[in-house]
Amino acid sequence: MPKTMNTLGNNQITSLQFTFLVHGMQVGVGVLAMPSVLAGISGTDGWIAIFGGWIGSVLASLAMVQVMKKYPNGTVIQLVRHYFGKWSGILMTLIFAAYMMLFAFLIFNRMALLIKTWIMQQSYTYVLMLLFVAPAFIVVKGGVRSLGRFAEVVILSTIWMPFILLYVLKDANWIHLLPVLKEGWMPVWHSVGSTILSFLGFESILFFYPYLENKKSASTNVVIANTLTLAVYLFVTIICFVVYSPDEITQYQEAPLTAAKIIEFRFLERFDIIFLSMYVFLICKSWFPALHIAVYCTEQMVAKGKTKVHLLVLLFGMIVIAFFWDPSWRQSKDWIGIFNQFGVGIAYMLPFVLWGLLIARTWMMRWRNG
Amino acid sequence: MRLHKIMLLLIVMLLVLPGCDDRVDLEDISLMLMMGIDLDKDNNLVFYSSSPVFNKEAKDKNEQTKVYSTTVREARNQFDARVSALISAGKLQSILIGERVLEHEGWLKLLDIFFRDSKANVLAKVIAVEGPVEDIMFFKPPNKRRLPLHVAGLIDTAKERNLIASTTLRNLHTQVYEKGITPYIPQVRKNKEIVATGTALMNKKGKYVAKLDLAENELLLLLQGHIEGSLSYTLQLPEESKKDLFSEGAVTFYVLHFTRKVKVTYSHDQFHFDVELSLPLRLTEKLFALDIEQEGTKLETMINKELNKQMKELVNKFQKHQIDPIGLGLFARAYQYEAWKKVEDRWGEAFSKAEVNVHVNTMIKDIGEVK
Repeated sequence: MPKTMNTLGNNQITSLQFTFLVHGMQVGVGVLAMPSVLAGISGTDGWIAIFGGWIGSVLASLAMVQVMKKYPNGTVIQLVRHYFGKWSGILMTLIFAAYMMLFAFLIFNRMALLIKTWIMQQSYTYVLMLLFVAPAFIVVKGGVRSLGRFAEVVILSTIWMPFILLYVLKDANWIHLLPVLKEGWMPVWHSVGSTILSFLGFESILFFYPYLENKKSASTNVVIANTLTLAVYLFVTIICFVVYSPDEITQYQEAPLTAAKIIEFRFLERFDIIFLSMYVFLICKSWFPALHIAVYCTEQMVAKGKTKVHLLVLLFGMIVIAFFWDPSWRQSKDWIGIFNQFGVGIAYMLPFVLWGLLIARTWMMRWRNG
Repeated sequence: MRLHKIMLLLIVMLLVLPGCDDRVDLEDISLMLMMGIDLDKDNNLVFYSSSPVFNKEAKDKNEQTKVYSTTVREARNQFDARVSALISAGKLQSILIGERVLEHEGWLKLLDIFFRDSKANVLAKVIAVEGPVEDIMFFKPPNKRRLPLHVAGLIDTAKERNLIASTTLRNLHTQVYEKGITPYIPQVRKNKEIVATGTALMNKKGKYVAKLDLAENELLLLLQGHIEGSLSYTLQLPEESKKDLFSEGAVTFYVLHFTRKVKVTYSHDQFHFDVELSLPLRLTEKLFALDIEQEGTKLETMINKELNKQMKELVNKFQKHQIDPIGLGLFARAYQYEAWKKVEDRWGEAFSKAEVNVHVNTMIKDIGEVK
């Protein structure tokens, strides 16, 4: 067997790495737009809806773990191939390849757009993207363990960011949150639709589960990962809600970044620039794993074992697309909207469907044998 | 082999660098620290910029420019055509708004660029100017540091004593969009030197409607429930006034950390606000004979009465002009949401009809070293 990045043996990850990988893929660009999107739908009650998204994602994650338990040493692709045959496996590979490529490209591109809007307005998007090709290549070619370590390092080294954000609370007006449930439950219910999308990224469980060293802890880990995400979302959203007036917050595209502008020290102005530069790390740890999964899927179909080639083709493909297409902010938003619809199917429906099919299959076998 | 790879990587990364198109060398930047917006007598918009000059050959430390333009960004182009370097607004400290601009509704639109352009500094102060902005922009006081820094410092220190409001662009954005408050900005005037004269109050559309003097501004900050730095207030108690030239029954005190309670009720199509201020005081001056150990309560009662009276007058002033710089609308939304929903878009009007009761409850905590 050729020694590729996806061999299980030398690519085991610890529980912490697994947790951070899943959590890391969830928190990316979405949280920047979240406060104003939520405020637009349900005013300052929007934060309650985050709990709705959390419940949904925890349930779906647990279902994924249950599914993966049926074939603990392979990814979802191998599981489907094993239980439902070669063609289902190929279909699954195609779906996930397309999904993860879209994931990686859209977030990668959005990241470049953010840098462009906030720091380097005149630069070409594809040039900014080009800068990230080398780091992405180095991290992703190392396989799951390298990604896990990257997530660990990034999360532990950016842990100060929320504490810095606390500084803006000096301008806070907690009264903005009152009255709770001002328009009843309906608007909150409507915004749950957008919060469950913010939790997308946990579908990576389907691919990282086999690498987890201690598989017994998987359920606990995914709950912790989702809860971490919940904590980050709640923290950022509530800070933005109390710092900005409810009538004002919908004016801002990226309210948390705008809030970082308020942070000012005697020796340092424009803290948002430093904040965004560090935040780029966090965004990277959300699309690097997606890129890995995309490569993993394409490798199942053609040129098995040539991971680096796949990786380079994908990365430069993205640059070429950005060169010719160069999405505007509006297009980026529209496309992420479409991608999210796709994501609901993959992350929230697929695990339950697979789980149901697997249970039905076991019953069938028992019935046939019995 | 490894070294080759690293070299290759470095060369590739170098190739990308020329792609950063908006690179500007520091020598080519002129940092605009203060900007002015005014209308001339024919109602044409005039923009001023003031930026420091770091060149040893230059005799003046500061460079001022005046241009006619329709928008702030267009004005920057005009500045660039006149100033020796590229104007950058990233370090902007203050924006002076002329009296004639404030007399018109809708001038707030001009500030859009500062919120849209991520390079702008949203912590720049917005300052109203009594009289023409030009007088301040081209003013060169010999005994002060560079003027833009002096103006920013003046506002900061006056705010430290709570004599004026300090409104940054970001605060102004909140005050304009938040329906439950009306905007207010500090105000300056140039006599022989630049003087902070108080706080300019505007209606929701940005039109200047009233002015608070320094003492009234202190009361406003008390009503808003939050002070930073020290707040020292002098009262003249009518009961203690004597005929002599100097006393006037004056008493001065610092307000220590205080609490504000706001109660909102709604009945008969009217909001009722009960604002209760518990002010712990530290006496610093008392120009009349009164034994505080014996008659402390009497003094507290007199102070309460006088403060209540002044607060009442202040609130009446707000209501007369249909403005709510206190932000009581926030409380109306938080506690009387149903009623608030009906009036949120014309809060100024609803506030003018509201009943506002201010109860000041002072406690003298400290009388100082002498009796």
